[in-house]
Amino acid sequence: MQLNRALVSWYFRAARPVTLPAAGAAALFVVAYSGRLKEAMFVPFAFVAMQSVLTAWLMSRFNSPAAAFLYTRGFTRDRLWTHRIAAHVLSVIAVWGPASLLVWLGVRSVIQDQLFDNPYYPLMMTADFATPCWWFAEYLLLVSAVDYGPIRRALPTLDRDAGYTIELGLILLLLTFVNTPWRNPWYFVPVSAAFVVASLALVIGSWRLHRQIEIRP
Amino acid sequence: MSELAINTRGLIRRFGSRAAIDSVDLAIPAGGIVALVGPNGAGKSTLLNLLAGLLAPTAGVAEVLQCPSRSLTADIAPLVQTVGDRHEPPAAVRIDTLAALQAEAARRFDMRRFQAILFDHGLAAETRYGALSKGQRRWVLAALALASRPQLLLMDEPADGLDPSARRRLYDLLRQYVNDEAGTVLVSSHVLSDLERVADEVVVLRSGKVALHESLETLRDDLRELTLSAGEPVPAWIQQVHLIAERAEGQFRQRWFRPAPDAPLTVLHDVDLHPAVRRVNLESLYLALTQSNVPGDPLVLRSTEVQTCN
Repeated sequence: MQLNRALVSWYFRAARPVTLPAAGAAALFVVAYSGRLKEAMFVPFAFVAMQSVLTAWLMSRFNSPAAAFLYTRGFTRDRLWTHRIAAHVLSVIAVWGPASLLVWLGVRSVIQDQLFDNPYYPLMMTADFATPCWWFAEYLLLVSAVDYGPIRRALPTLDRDAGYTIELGLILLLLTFVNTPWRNPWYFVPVSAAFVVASLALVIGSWRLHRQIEIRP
Repeated sequence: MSELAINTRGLIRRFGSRAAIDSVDLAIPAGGIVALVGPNGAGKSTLLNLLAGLLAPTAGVAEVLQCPSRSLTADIAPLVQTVGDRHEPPAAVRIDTLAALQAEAARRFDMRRFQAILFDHGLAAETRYGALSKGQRRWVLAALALASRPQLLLMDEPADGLDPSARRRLYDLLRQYVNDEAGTVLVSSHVLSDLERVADEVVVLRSGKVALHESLETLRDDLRELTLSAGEPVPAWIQQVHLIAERAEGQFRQRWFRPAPDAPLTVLHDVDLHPAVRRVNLESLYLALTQSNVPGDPLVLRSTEVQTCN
């Protein structure tokens, strides 16, 4: 399926109130944080989770006149869902792309060294390089999964709030896992695989349920 | 077997315990303008949203272009366009952005036609949607839908906020669209004179039920209205007609009726010669069906063969 720029922009526009401030905050965090960037850090994870949840929420105002307008243009439900996810991924890149570049291009190192007289930089510069990849991996697990809650909420059924419980459970488990510094492979690999499976299940669930949601303008 | 643009069977939609749409059977053939009228809260918007696939039926079937309205395929979805009462894009979006989005959604979207309709109303494509007046917004939404050249157009109060001349132009455009594209329009409005001018059929909803589905031509030909004051005698032939509704207002009593098909010719003759009898118009019929003091039998619904989704 070919992505349609106008439709991705439509969703991206909806997420703008979160994306723009988050991009600034992420860049600020990356240049100002004095310690070494590690994968097991609470603040970036909480930031990633909050941005994902808020972005999904902004894209999921199913009872708004704008949603009724969009859903009656002639797009199929599957096409709308695909573009939703694409716009969400784009908003992640817009937030953490520039922040990651600040790390990878050494800007963070220069600022820590020159501006803050941090003695660890530029020595520790390369040690930071892998961390943005962890953040993107966290997004990979979260972005599509956080869509499940609001989509299930828009179903014309009675147990629709259960989606948020599942979503919250996944986020808390992931938070615990990410903040565990123990990376022994016998523990790390199967638990990571379990998260991937859970996330995939939620992705498929949100895709299927999106066909059944109601728009009540 | 005639092709159906809209087909509902036993359609029910509840909000809590209240049935907004209650066992609606509606078969609308392709081609033509169908007026959907009824008092506030009768279920017009709910019915249109069910047909647009935004709402799920509680029970029954809602099909558009022979497919379930909730699961239109990529081929069918662009052929159903909706101008809803509360279906509006965000205020910050420009008209040309809306047109670009519509062009992606509907392969048949004709940009030149869209611009022509837009310019007809003196609107520029660079204008933000939020900067438009209520009537201008409706015009833009109608232009998007019409330029998409759909096979089915669902319109909920499309002329709301338009001035009289713009309303007339809009309904003329609908008529032109039906004639040129052989499309079907289901349009709701409270301005009955507009609908009467362009509609081919009328559906009257009352408390979520179809009170009437008939062609306007048949209604004009068949239906009569008798208005008598308190002292005037009721003609004897009233026993031999099919009474639809009755309403008492002040010292007047109005009766809407249709002469029975098997009534003797003398009765038909007497009916047409009676000075207090006149042919009905849509507004009179609307009052008969929605404000009747004496519940009348619903008129005979159109029967159409059922088709399956291709």
